[in-house]
Amino acid sequence: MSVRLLLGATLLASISCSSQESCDQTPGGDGPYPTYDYCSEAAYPDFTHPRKRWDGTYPERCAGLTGEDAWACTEQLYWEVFQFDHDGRADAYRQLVPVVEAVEAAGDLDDRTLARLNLRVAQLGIAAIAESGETDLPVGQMQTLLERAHELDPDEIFIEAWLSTLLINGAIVLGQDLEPHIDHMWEMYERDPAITTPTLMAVLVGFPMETGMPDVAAEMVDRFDPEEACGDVCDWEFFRAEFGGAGMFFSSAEVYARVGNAEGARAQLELARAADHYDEWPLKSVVEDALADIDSFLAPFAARGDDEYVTDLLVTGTDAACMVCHAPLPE
Amino acid sequence: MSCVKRFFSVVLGTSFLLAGCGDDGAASSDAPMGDMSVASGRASLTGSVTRSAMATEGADGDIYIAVFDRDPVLDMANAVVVGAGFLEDADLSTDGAMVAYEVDDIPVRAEPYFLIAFMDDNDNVDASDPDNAGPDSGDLLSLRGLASVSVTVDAPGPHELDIDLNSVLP
Ligand code: HEC
Repeated sequence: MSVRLLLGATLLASISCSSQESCDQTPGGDGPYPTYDYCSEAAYPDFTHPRKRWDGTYPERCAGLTGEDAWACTEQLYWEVFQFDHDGRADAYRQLVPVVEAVEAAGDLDDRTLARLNLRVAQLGIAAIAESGETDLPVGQMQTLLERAHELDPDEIFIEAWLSTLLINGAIVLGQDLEPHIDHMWEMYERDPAITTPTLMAVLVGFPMETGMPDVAAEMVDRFDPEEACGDVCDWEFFRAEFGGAGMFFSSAEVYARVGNAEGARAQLELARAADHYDEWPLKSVVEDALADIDSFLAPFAARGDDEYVTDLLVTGTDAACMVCHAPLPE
Repeated sequence: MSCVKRFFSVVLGTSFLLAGCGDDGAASSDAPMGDMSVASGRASLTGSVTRSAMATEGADGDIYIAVFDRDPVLDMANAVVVGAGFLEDADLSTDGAMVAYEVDDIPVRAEPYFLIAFMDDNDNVDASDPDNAGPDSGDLLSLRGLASVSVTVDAPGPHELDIDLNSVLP
């Protein structure tokens, strides 16, 4: 079984406003990306390149690097395998864990960036498990990486939401008490609904109907206004998530489908159809099929009845958990 | 201690690793002294074992407890057992039930240890081969999320740790 990990996937990268104006713009106009410094000597990935994130500046596996170079190198490797070389994800994950350890030991990276480094390596492991079926990876290690990231940057709700999502998925599978996790989710939602909604709705919708959680997810989608929620990043091109709009609408369509709301699902599918890059989107045919026969889109969820999880039925939770938004544009 | 490492495949279709070693209650006499730099002496862990997970097999069975030098869930290849306990036929079938446990002869050290306990609820562990004991589908187990519970044993004598079997292996 694949994990439902539509995580942290928000239309809003969490941004912290920097005072420097020029150094935090990425080539192409996005930005600032959190903890990137394009004025430094470090070589961050060039997201405007159609096919390459690893540019050869750094030694293989980022071996021997610490400090900002280790972070920039990790970013190059992460985005290279995350977007273009799925078979390479698991190895890259295994190679990057020692890089994190080296940086931790050297103590030469500020807390916020170090938090991001821990986050990123955990995200890579999670992507490898969720999408690439790399079931040998130690998922408990991703928990400890995320816990460390949260400890280093406790105010970053993006990190907190990723940790929470991982723990909830684990708790479901292991039959652990879900209540504390659910309380924590609400608490995050109250703090920042715009940032947490995309994450939370995707978790909640997988729960059995009788728990009431899927209805809550639908209500979150009702209330979510992407135009409003994008905040400071509304005008981004989203080089790192070119299909973010389509993916978000499609995920919303799955939420409505799950609760049997055919019209809501149809409306979200139409929005996905109107989103940027729709014609190049790997999930285009899924949307077209669903629109042509909306009942068939809803039916598998209904067939599960009231007391079963549907996590494994969600397209955005399994094979395309990340690529639904993060797939690269075709050349 | 000749603790054979074994792993079991569990959650999220993911492999968890447990160097699951029960040592019939007696703690290891030849526990490795590798990085026990700081303190000297031996300590024990005592407390209760309870169950919060919904049991699928009755919650009545042998409990194996193992204390590791590092988190066995994270580093299967290198985790070494430094102390172990065994509770025969523990009955945690009723809500609120608890049984007492003790793990003796743990080398004192400043850094935390990691503990895993499991109940062989489906009763398929070969009790004559405790070194190879490990949980499988249906067994109850103590976890901290997806990782192991940690505990610090930094002075000789008894230390308290209550264990909750909060997970069921799918
Ligand atoms: C619903 C769409 C969507 C899904 C699904 C999604 N993401 Fe994202 N993700 C985004 C958007 C939009 C951003 C913001 C883009 C940016 O910061 O450049 C983002 C940002 C990120 C970032 C950069 C965050 C940072 O620290 O700056 C990473 C890494 C990431 N996602 C990984 C993942 C992984 C791994 C998955 C799957 C497990 C995933 N995402 C699923 C939409 C999504």
